[in-house]
Amino acid sequence: MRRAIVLGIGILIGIAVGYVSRGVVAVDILNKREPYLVSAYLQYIGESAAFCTNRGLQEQKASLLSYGGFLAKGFESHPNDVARFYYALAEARLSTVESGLNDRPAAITHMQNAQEQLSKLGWTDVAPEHILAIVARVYQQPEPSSFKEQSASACSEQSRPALMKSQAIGE
Amino acid sequence: MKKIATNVLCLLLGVILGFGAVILTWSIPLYRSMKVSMADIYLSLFGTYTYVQYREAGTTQAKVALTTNLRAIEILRAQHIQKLDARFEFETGLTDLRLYRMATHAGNKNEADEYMRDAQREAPKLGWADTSSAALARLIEARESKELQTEKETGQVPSASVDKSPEVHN
Repeated sequence: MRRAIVLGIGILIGIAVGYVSRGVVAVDILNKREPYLVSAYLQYIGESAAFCTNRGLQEQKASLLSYGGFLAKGFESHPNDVARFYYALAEARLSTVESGLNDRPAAITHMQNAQEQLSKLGWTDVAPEHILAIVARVYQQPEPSSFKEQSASACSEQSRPALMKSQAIGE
Repeated sequence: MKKIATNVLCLLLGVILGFGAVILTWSIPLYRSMKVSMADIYLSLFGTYTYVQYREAGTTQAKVALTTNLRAIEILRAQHIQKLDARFEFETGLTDLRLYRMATHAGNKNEADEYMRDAQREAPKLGWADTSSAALARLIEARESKELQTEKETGQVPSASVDKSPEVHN
């Protein structure tokens, strides 16, 4: 009888611990079995924050730097064109944020970095206006000339890459 | 002493049973649904990269992007995520057709034919009525002009969607 009671108490403790850690366990299984999916998810989260324009420029700059750092680590350790591509877009965006902050030298440096990465990716036109137009198209943001007006826009689905909005069939 | 050890063992057994039951009940289904969402994100990240590279990069790098996309889809397909099967088929078919167009423009007939055959393998699964080479060639041509038009009109990278475009099949 006593053993049954102890076993019951153990089961209750196990259920409580399992319930509290159910999410962590699910992510852990995913990270062990499909680490690239978790990495893509982290990139998506970073990207959503970095291209969210409904915040102050300083905050946007911090998010973009953090997101850029995350991507740079990826393609420096394992040369990866996908990470390089998103890194270049983040650098281009960062140049417009720096322009907004009146830091012209930093804006130029970030744009040069974007141009360098995109050249490595084989882009035929790496003129700053062209790159910024592509960034605007991908993230559905107005062209850089209206950047200041845009800074007050909503931060929601607007800042997500257009293709990310695609619906999986059946949804 | 023996009694204490038995009780501790019972407690541990209980904890393991309780924990295991919760993991099987909640964590495994949660893992499966997270996998679908993350696979969708993964596919979209590659989709955006591939589309922009296809438009902006030179021939070699555009081809690298398209073949990278095919490999990414293959990796996900191996996961047997049924909910995304139709999207995998569509993305594979579309990428094969883009590669077909590139090979055709480059004058590589054999390579173009190979990509067309790959696209034709996916086409019936998507319910496309006419899967002849001519129909699929028209389909990708129409789709790409539509993409350019959408970009011009909206200033946005067009969304990927399953193209049933019946008018193109006739």
